[in-house]
Amino acid sequence: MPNVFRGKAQVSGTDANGDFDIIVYPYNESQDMTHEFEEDVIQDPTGSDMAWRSRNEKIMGDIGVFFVGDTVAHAKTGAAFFAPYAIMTVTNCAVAAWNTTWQYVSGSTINQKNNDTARGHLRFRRYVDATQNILAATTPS
Amino acid sequence: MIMADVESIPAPAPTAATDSPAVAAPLTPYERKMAAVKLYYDTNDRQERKALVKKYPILKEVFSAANHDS
Repeated sequence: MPNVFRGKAQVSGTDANGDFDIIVYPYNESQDMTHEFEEDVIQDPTGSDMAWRSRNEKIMGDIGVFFVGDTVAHAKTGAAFFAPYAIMTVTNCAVAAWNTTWQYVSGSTINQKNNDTARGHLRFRRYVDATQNILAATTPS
Repeated sequence: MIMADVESIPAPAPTAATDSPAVAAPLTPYERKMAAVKLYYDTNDRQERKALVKKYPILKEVFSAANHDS
């Protein structure tokens, strides 16, 4: 049943309209992004930070999924790992930071429990620098 | 035995109401990839999945060998 909203507008739930192209049957339970960058921090003679340099800015994505489907077969086949560095293109998400090309990274999980629907976490990475992100999604020839 | 084929999946219908071409355009590389991905998801047998990966090399870049014992 659709949600009914009053008061301040909100970003609500996961993206029902989002298109995560290689995730066809699993259903998003959660969508988490973590902003990361490496940094060099230079300290003065007293040990206090005095200069900062950031580099390698990226976003780590963690999509929690239920393994469900319109048929039992689809629910089962949806529980699949992707190849290392598989490319996922995301469009139509409410939070614009999702809408780009992502690289599948290590650490995804498929979890089954005796009294619960199987679920998992699919982990991805994208770089903030456009050139770097294109490189991350390019198969060398 | 694999019954479906990527080429048998029709391309999306043109959306423009007025000057749409009468014949649907061939699949773009992206559409071809997605059609192959859907075939893979629609295949529950490990040997069939393995055969699909052999037939469509793009699937090697999308799905882990852990899913199909290759």
